[in-house]
This record gives sequence, C-alpha cells and structure tokens, in this order.
Amino acid sequence: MKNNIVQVIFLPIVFLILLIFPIMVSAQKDKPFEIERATILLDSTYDSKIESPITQKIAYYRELLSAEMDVVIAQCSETLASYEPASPLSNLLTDLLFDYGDRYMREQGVEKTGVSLLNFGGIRNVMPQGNVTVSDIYKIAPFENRVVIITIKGSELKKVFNRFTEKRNQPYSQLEMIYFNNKPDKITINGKSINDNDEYHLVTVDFIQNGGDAILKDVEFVKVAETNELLRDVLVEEIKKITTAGKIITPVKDNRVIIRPQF
Amino acid sequence: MTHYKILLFIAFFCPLLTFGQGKVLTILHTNDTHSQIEPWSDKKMKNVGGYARRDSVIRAAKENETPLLVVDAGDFSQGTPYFNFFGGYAEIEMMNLMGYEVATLGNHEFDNGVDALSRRLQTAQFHIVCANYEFKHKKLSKQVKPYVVLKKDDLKIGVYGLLVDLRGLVDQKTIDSTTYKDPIAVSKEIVPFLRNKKKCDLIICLSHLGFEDNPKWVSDSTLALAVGDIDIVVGGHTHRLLEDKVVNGVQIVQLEYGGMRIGKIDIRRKRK
Repeated sequence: MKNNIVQVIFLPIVFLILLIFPIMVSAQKDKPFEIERATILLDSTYDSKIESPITQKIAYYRELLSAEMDVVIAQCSETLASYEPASPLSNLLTDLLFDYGDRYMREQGVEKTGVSLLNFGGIRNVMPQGNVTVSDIYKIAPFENRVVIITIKGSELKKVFNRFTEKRNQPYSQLEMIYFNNKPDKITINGKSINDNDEYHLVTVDFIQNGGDAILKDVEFVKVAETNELLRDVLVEEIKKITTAGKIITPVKDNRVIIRPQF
Repeated sequence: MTHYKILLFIAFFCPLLTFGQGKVLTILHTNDTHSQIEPWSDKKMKNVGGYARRDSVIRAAKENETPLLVVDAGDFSQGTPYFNFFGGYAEIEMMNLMGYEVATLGNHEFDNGVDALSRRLQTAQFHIVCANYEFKHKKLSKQVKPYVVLKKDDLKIGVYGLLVDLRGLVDQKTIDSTTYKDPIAVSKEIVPFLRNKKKCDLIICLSHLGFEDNPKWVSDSTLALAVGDIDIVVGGHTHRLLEDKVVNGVQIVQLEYGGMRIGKIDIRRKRK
C-alpha cells in the first residue's frame, strides 16, 4: 500500500518537476536565450604555476616599476612623523606644497600673499630616516589628489581657520595661529594680519576643494586654478630640489601653532 | 516498479541533457579593475585579484568548445603606480594578451587627458565602444565606436557602450572636448537598430553609468526599465556586486573593484 502511494503520486510529481525545471529557469520574458551566470573570486587557488606570456609581462613591468620606485631622491636626518596640530612631517609637506603653488601662480603672472593647506587624514605614513625613495612618497601621499590654487577673500580664509580648535585642525604653511582657551585667538600670515577684502591664494588639493573633511564647508571661492599635478608628484619634485641644493631634509619646527595655556 | 525506475532515470537526465546542449556563448566580464596588475589586499579582502589569475580563468575558458567573449566595462586605468609610471600602456598591453575583445571607457580612462588616451588606445587590439559621447579629438572619435557587431559561430552579438556624465569626474579640458548625450535616448535608438537592422541575436551593453536604486538617477536600472530589449548590461562605476539583478527582463551584472573577481555568463539557446 505504501509502495503504491509512492508510485502513483510521489514519483509522477518528481518526474514532472524535473521535466519542468529547465523551462522554469528560462522563463525570462520571451527571450530566446537563457542565462546562467557565476562570479569567480580570484584568490590564490587561481595562481598559475607555469610561466605564461602574461606572467612574463607582469614580471617585466614589476622590475621596471621597482627600479623607478626605489630611486633615492633625498636624505632625511631623522624619522619625520605627522600629528596634530603641527608636526615635522606635516610642516614639511605643507611648506613644499606652498613653494610649488606660489611659484606656479607667479609663473602665471599672479602674485598674492598665500598659504597652503592639507588634511592630516591625507598623510598616511612617516618619512624614514636616511634614504628617502619615490616609494616612500607614494606611501605618504597614496591618494590621487591634485594640487589646486584657490583665490579666496580674506574674510573667507579667516572663516576656514577660525573653525579650527586645539583638537580639530589641519596642517598648513605660511600662517601662524595662537590658540587661547582651545580656540583660535590670533591668525596671521607671515606676521601680518589678514584683511577681509584682500584676495589670497590658498594652495591645496582638489579633495579639500571639493568638500573633503568639510574643511572648506560653506566657504566661497573667487576662482580656482587647477594645476593637474598630483600632490605626490609635486612632493617628489620639490624634495628632489632640496637634494639638488645640496641639503638634507631636517625637521621644521616653527611658530605656526602656539597654544596658550588654558585657565 | 521497474518502469518507474526507468522513468525516474529519464526524468533525472532530461534536464541535464537540456542544460548540456544549446550553449552558444560564454562571456567573461570585468569592470573597475583599476590598474591592479598584481594581487592586492585591503581591510576586507586579502590577497585577491591580479592579471595572472584572471588570465588563467580566461585561458581555461578558451580551451572550451563554446565561443568566448571577454569584455570590460571601463576604469581599467588608474589605481596603482603602474598607471602613474607607464601611463596606462601596461594595462592595455596585457588586456591584449588576455584576449579582451570589447571594452568601454570609464571616467578614469580620461585621467591623463584625451590626447594621452588616444595615444594609448592606438595600442589596443580590442574594440572600444561608447555610444553616448562625441569627441572633438579627431583620432579619438575614430578609435571609439558606438557599437560593434561580432559573430560567434552563427550567433550575432551587438555590443555597445555607455559612459556616465563626466562633469565633476574629470578636468574641465576633457569636459570641453567631449559632448555627453543622454544614455537612455541613445539606447532607444541603438538597441532597435542592432536588433532589427543588424539582426543581432544578443545585445550587450557595456555600461560605465553605475547602478543606483534611486529611479531618479540615470543608471543601469533606469536604462533597463526604459530599454527592455537589451539582453545583458555589464555594468561598472559604482563598485557594487550585482549577481542576480534582473530589471524589466534585463540581466544586470557588476563586480566590485580591482579585479578581485571575474564574472562568467553562459548563454544557451532555448529549445523551441
């Protein structure tokens, strides 16, 4: 009796389902094709043990690349780190960025007082003591950020820096800030006060220009000059200049951030 | 009882027979591979991707009898020092070696400007398709075709390309030298043309528009809703893993980024 149920009911159903299954799978509109897809994760199980044209080509480019990346471009007196509110590495990078941007604008025939600004989040590694290679600069500035020079009114520039606090701030060059009770108390550019109606150059990167880290939130620009140069390429070239001048990189310590004690 | 066993046997093998037959094409697809020539790791993924592994999957597929089509949905440029040092030539040289047949342009293909792009596309042995842009650069406008029609055995495949609005993604010089056209309006012309005039059996859109759930934005989903006659959208740009997305009868696929995966699509002719 039990056998009968299996034979009469269960088996025909199984038969039907199995027969209909492919038709169900392909029941996609009235298209004459059915699609079966898979996604393959390319982990080490796909490593090929034999040489192929592609592995040879990769090896060729890898060798060329490491030759480029391992080029020593400077000597550094000690390991330079980056930290808030001012540090040897962030000071160095913003100084180099300013030098580049200022020269760029002068070459365009525009001379203005300027400052440079980066973000601590964009500085990703230390500069090592001794040999500094191209690869080290790639580690410090791995992002595809391009240098821009923003022309900005003094009032807007003040707005940017007045939002800084002892704990929340960003690296810059050419500017001095005195914090008093955790807030900016006095901001000057090379010792001179900022005039609200004067125009200044703000040398920075497109990431910040486009709203990155909200540093320039609600800040109006007069205009923006795009250099189309990557920050790290600029840094490599500026660092090479230090070496060409017969110097080594040493930590820059200055008065760009002064913190007065809290009461 | 015996005849039931025979019946069961037949029932089990019928579907298998159906599946085994009628396979007319295998598509292997990538998007947003971003110059990741070597395997890489990040917070989420460890030791994934790389051209050598991708190549071993492609080579294995080449050994099968079924015709193979290898395509990329753009942004094969930019992301590692290989791009910065060799200007994107290494990627194209190795895509030639891997046997890519068609690719579309992603926004990052324009990172070094249109002149540089045109110079390196000169070395590409695969088709570049993009239907919704006009290029003022004379050579580039010839190198980039709106579509290609490929024949694999007796299967006619139309492949066309779409690219996202570049404003805000590339520099102003590039914007000024290109004219963006609405991807949906372009598709409404090109898809019927490929189907009816070119008699394509299969229409594939290589799209660097991105996939968004928001129906207000032009993306692969709004494209599929508007132009249901596309068979497959191989997408990119939004780095989103889409495997079983079917919108308005259009299969939409996309992989994340960096070539950590390769997608495989088998096309079978339905039995009449």
